[in-house]
Amino acid sequence: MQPPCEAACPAGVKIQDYISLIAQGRYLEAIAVIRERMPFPSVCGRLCYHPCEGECNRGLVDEPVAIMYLKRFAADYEFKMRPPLPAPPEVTKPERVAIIGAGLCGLTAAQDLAKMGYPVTLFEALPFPGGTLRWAMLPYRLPGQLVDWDVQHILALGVELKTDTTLGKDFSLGHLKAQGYKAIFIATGANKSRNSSRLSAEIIAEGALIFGTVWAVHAVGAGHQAAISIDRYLCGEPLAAADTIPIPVVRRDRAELQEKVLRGQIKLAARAEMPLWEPLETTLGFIEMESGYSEEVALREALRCLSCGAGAQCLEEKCSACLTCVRLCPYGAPTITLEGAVTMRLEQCLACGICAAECPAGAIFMKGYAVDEISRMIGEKAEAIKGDKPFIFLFTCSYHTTTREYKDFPENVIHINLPCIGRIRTIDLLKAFEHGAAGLGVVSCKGGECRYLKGDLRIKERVNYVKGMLKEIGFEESKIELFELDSLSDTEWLNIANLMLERVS
Amino acid sequence: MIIAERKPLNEILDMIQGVEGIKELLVVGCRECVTVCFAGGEKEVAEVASALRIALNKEGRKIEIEEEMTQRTCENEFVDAISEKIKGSDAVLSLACGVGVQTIVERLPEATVFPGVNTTFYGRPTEPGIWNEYCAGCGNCILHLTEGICPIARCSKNLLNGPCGGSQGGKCEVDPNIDCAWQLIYDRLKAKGKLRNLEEIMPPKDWSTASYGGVRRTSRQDAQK
Repeated sequence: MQPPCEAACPAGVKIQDYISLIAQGRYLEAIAVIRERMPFPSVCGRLCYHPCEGECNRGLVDEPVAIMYLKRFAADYEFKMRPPLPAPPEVTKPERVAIIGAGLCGLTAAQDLAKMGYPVTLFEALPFPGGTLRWAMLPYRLPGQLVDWDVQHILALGVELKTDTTLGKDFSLGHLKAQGYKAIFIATGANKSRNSSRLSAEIIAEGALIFGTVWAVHAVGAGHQAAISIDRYLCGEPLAAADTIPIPVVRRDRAELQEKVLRGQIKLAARAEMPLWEPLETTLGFIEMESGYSEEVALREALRCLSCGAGAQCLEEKCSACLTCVRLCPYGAPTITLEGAVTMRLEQCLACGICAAECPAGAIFMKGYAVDEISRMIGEKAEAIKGDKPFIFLFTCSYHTTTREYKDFPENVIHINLPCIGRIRTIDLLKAFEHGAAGLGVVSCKGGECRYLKGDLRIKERVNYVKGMLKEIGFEESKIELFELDSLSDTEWLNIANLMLERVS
Repeated sequence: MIIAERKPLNEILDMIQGVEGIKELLVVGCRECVTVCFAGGEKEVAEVASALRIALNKEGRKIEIEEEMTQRTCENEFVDAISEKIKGSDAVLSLACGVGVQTIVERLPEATVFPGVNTTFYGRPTEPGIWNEYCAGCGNCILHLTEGICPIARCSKNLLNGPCGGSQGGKCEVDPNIDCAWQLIYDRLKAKGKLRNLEEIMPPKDWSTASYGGVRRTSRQDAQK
């Protein structure tokens, strides 16, 4: 099953994945997920017609998740932080590919082909890459330096760029063939130049050239398609891939969702508005009117996602039909069929992770917010910090906070923030100790405030169970402690971290 | 099903540390009864293995701990399927029931196998996280005489002809968490208008079909090879 937002995206962006990473405060990982399929988040964070939002199931509860604005938030955050550009992938294929036109489509194809290992050269008639949006958009609509930043990510992959080079004037297709290019992709796009309509086996023309001007997101989608076809062509396969079975889309029912709202299983939350700069500032500075989400607003907005289809899935070969999931799910998603088997009703699941954490058979995995990823994260972070100084873990809930930037934590505090800590398994808590942690602080909501209804109750039991285990192996039970706080309690986190540090040192 | 519960970790540690020369320990779980009763499924295997690593690390003992599952440890074939893994370890900590432990030993006589759980009874979860005894495996079922409630397994004194004097308010004098089986039988008989059945005196039970008659074995010709 795939979420409707992703099914609707012409560029195939893994929307749910990046929304969930934003919800966890993992913004740079979120933008990396976006760049995989949408190399121009600056553009599509501002100017997309966002078909994803029209399909968003959250719209049946209150309003769709502001997917486009969240994409912009992740892009703006990255632009502010300026992490290192990606390293060029290894060139593993001998066939050189020429792409004519360094617009969104051509650049997208260049990114994909470079990642596949092809040496790629872009030929651009203008003095700079970026295409129509780079030269036609006024800075108050789309600041040019953001497009440049996006382009840098593609060029960093080892893509060669030749500007001021016009097809038909400075070179011909024949020249390119003579120079040894094995595939030529004409992606001259939405501007007026239409230099070539000659199509041969080596040449694939993009959608805009053939069909006229399209949305940026379609240009990117066409770039992905072109890269696949070029790869297939160079591998000697037919250009069009064989038909694949479409992945079913999670469609939810308004009445059923409204009933969940009435029962308190889904809490209403208004879509965050895009904040605007003061009109005077925009006019004087000739800058964007929309200022972008603050971190607090972005976190809140990302947490509105219903995680359609990202929830629990059962590995039948492992399932012992113990019924634990049926008994503990707050939403009645797992159920017993007429034939007497246990089945997960994915469309009922809100991906809280309780069942996956409790399943004694290890038979349940979460498509999104992978629970086993928590153990991996614990291991990596602990190994990175290991030294002579004792260190502790602090587990907190994203729903309690307005920011991920807790720069005040001492360096021997490893902070893991998750959308509901009810998804932390007993084994995760043990793994933290196994990797050398001296103590664990677990911050949970006060009874009844959990967004997922039971996450707070489950984590309480797990912490108590681990206390019992610690006692049995001769450790102090106080090495792990649960702190039940009111929501938006992040101001207390530092105190809790210090308390735990004091306790273990 | 068979109910078991994990042994305290300090007892498990004592067993392991009581044997010299263990460098590699394989923790083996079972996907049947002990998974369902939270004693030896994949989750428990991971947790026990992790807790042992934490404890051994603290004591500075270097034991590699690996994790493995069987579909049903009491079957030759399923044990054989992981025999290479077992042979590659110095010892096995089995989280299967006692039958599983012995199956491993029979199939791999060289193996050192520790029981990681106490096998307790035949029962069922009456609510999540609570398991109660329902059957004693006495080998001669009389549930048709007692309205479907077993006085052998569920009466603390295994009485056959009504409650003892310790039945108070429907609870057993041995432990107030135990329902008096004879109260339950009485209530059901009364509801069905069959209280007169109680006038029928049950003769002393023949315990030879229970384990008092020696080690038991059943066979079925048509199932044999």
